[in-house]
Amino acid sequence: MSLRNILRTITILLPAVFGLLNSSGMASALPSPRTALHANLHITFRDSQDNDSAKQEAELREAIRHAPTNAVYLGQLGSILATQNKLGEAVPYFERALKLNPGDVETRRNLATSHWQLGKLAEARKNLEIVLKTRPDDTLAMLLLGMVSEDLGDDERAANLLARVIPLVRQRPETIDSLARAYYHLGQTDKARNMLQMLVGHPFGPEAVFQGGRLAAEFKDYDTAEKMFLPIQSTYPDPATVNYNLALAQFSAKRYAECEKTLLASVGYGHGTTDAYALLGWTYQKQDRLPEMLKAFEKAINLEPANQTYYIDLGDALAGKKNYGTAIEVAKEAVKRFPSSSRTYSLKGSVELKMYLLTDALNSYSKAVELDPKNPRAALGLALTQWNMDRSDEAAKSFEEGARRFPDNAFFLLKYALFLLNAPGERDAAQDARIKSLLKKSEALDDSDAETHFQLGNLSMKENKYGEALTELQTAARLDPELSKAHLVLARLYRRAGREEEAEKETQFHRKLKAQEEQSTDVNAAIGTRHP
Amino acid sequence: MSVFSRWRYRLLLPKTAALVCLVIPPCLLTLAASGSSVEIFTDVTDAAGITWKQFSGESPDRFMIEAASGGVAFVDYDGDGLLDIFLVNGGETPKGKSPGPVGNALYHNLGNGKFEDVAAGAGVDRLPFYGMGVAAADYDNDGFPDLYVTGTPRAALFHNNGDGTFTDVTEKAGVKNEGRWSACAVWFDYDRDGYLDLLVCNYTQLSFENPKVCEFNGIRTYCDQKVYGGMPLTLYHNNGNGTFTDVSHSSGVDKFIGRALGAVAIDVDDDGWPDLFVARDASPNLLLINKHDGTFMDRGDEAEISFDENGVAKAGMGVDAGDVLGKGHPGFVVTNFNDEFHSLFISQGKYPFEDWTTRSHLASLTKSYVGWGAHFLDYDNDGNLDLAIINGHLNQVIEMSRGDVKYKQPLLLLRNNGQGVLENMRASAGEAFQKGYSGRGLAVGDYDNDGATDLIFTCLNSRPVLLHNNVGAGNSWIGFQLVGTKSNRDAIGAKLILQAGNRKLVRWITGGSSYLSSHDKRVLFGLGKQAPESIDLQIRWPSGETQSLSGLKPRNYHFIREPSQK
Repeated sequence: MSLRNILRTITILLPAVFGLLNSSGMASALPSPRTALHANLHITFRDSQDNDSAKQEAELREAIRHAPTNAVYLGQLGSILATQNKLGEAVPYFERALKLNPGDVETRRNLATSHWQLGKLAEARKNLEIVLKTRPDDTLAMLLLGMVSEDLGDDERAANLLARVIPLVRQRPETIDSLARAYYHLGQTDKARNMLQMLVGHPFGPEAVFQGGRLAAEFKDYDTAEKMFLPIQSTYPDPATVNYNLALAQFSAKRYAECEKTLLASVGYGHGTTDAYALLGWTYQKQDRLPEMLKAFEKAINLEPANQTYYIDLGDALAGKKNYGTAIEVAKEAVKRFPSSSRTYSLKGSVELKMYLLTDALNSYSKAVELDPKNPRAALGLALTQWNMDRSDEAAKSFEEGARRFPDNAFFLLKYALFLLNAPGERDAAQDARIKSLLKKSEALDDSDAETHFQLGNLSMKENKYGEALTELQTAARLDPELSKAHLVLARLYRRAGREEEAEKETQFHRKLKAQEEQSTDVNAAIGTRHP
Repeated sequence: MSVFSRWRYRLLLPKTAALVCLVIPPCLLTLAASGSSVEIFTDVTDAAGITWKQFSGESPDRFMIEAASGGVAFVDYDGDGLLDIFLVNGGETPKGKSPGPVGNALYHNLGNGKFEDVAAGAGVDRLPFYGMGVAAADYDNDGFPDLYVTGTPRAALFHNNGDGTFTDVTEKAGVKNEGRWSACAVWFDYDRDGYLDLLVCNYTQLSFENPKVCEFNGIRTYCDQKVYGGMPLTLYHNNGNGTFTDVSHSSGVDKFIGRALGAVAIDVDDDGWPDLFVARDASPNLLLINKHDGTFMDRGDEAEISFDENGVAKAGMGVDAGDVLGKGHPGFVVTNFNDEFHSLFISQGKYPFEDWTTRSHLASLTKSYVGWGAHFLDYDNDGNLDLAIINGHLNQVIEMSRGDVKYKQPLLLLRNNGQGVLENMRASAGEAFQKGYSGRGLAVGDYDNDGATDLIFTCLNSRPVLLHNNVGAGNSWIGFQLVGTKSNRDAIGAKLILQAGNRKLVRWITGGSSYLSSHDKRVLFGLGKQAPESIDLQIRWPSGETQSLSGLKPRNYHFIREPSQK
């Protein structure tokens, strides 16, 4: 192929890869939009052209040697390198071309694409903004900038830009997912659902629908996830996986009977994976069907006896039902079978902590930490046990060390904040600031934990910042409507604000929840064995 | 003016004792100030001749009640001007039998530091039920305090005959509280008709037939409180003719179902009508405000005393009320379980109350303790209300798990610096404060009339501990015994505002308080080192009458009768 033909092809293909071509690739995990688009770009070029790209590259390099200031050649070489995934090499050619011809919108867009693919988001954004300034109606640049913005966490801008190029967005599952993700982040669930709905019946097939379902589940939109998984149960190439994901969504939505039905049907069709049995075990646990729970976990363990996960699941499930006697037996067996596992010692420690056998729990968690200092459950368990034993100095040290080691573990940070909050002494401003910072960080990492919002709201109440408190407490109550204390403090807040009617409503709701809690008291609980 | 120092109590003491009181104070002051080895309280149980032992009926069945009884009252049953001591025994359980009869004790104060048990002769030694607590008051205004004894499955009212004996009038009076496990009882005149009414705190309905089974590390122990369903409160209206009417329903108190253990009657909102603070075990505390029409409304939510800030209904056991900050508004102490911290709520005359548990240091001082009896007292007579709390765990095997929490726990004497910050006086309080106890009931009173508040507390399956206050009389003081005429004779519900120089002190004659216990109904004001020559007092009687008195002399108990007759 002549050089002219190559250049023309690239010019045509570059825009096309973003919107016009199909892919039949099937990823088992949701790829990032950037990776996906890049992969498509690469595949498209290879599939569509018979020409040897190395030959084309050589021809372009030769042309540039003769005409080093030819912006067209430079841009084209950059493009051909980019299609070969030689992004690092491509960028300087694009840049040289743009230096010679700054108004070349195509080349700037290509440069931005390469930057995006290289993860240089700020540079990509800058160039795309220049493109859009020159050519405000450049839909491709809008699409790209929307994707870049989504990667940058600027969900509002991403949503605005992508919404303006829906015809382009709807052509690719990855771009649909990007816009849906932006909407979810913005709390615009209905719009996110509408976007994901586009995937159903999409020419990209069941994989796109599956990934859409997983995206919905990621944002705890389990109804949508279920709606995505259900229609592809018979068409998805891996029915065990889709059934498991469907059941998981149902479980997460607390629809345990449906989850059980899905799993049993899947097992009936011969898709009885260990994960399916384990989830079935948890489903029975939630339905208080302990004999069936035991059988399901036993099946999972027998299918994969070398996998400690299912012993741990069984132990945790039993402990969750306050069946500590059996739970501790399972934990001991797990430790025996996996003596070098930090996770099994953590399980043992957690059961012992629940049984208020604090010395035993301390030993188990210490061993777990020794075996794997990077195990957050072990580190947290050790700190909690020390706290329960009133070894406050040791607990403080463990929490502080854990906060350093697991800065991205929202739950750990929350527990550390609770430890500091519950200290009996009077706190100074620095301690208050530390607690607030831990809670804020925990919230930033996982804003779905009602406890975090509750504690932040409570702190704001104490500072008489009623507006902030109201927001946090309402969030806590929304995330966990059965969190009785959120309603108690909301009632107090409303009362202080003179909003008596709302206060009374929250008070009544709180009382109702407390009565329910009283009903669910463990009738065999020994006195004085409650722990923080 | 109907004031007369008819009883100069110190003169009732033997000459040597009186001499000691007159001579020792400056010396004591110096010693106390220098932190010398003079202990604040001395255990005088042996010297007093108190040998009675509580019997809980502890058994392998681990009925919760075995760990909860122990009422005690400071009460001058014979009107000789000396506080006597009444002790309520527990009882047997199906597998917890006593080798001998299980009896109460009524220790008559002989005035020489000795006491003599006269329970049998007085007719109050035996109960036909398992005993819990006692509330002493003169319900029929005949000048002699009567005894209401709580327990399960019923309670009893002993009318004081005025001759050193009592008659069980439970059936006739209609206050049996049948079928309920009652804990505290509070005498107070909720309708201000001049007759004391009776609130009974009920915990649950206990059956010795079906023990609840709970284990800790394979060892049988008491179950969590929440295993026991709560009960409504009982309110009896005194008809003024020796009988009572159960007004639990019409007053609205029967809708408050929970595990009530302690209560104090005090005028929370300063409207002249007695209100109630009810401490409940893992049930929300109640603040029952008197609506003046025979009904009560719970304002616990508004006061923010029902639950802690994490929505936990703490294990409220004992409760007392007093002006902790010296601003004329009542604060409340509530004893709770270990790790919950005993609570201190301060009223500033409006809702919500302020939670001073941490700010007062009470949280750090009580973290490891399960608290029971608690009472404010100005042990050093400096004018600030201090705090005594008796503790003790229920779970005999708790030490298997926790190093910091002991089964036997100390008595706490917490000194108030006047700003509501408490300091543990353990180091100088005396030997009794170095030991551990299975403490339960706690009562305060000046049994030797030296102007210093003494203490007594009960212990499970042990003798009670009587503590003599050695330092209170080192500072100046003034005491009052009020006698109602239009009001109830004990003047429960009266508010006393004392002006001593620039200092104004407010005290109330409360009903109930602490845990299962009853106290000296006289009001003792600490005046500090330099009391003014003349002291003024304003009384708001339970009837609503007010009375002003001036030129009162310190270091005396003053006997004050309500001016107008009924």
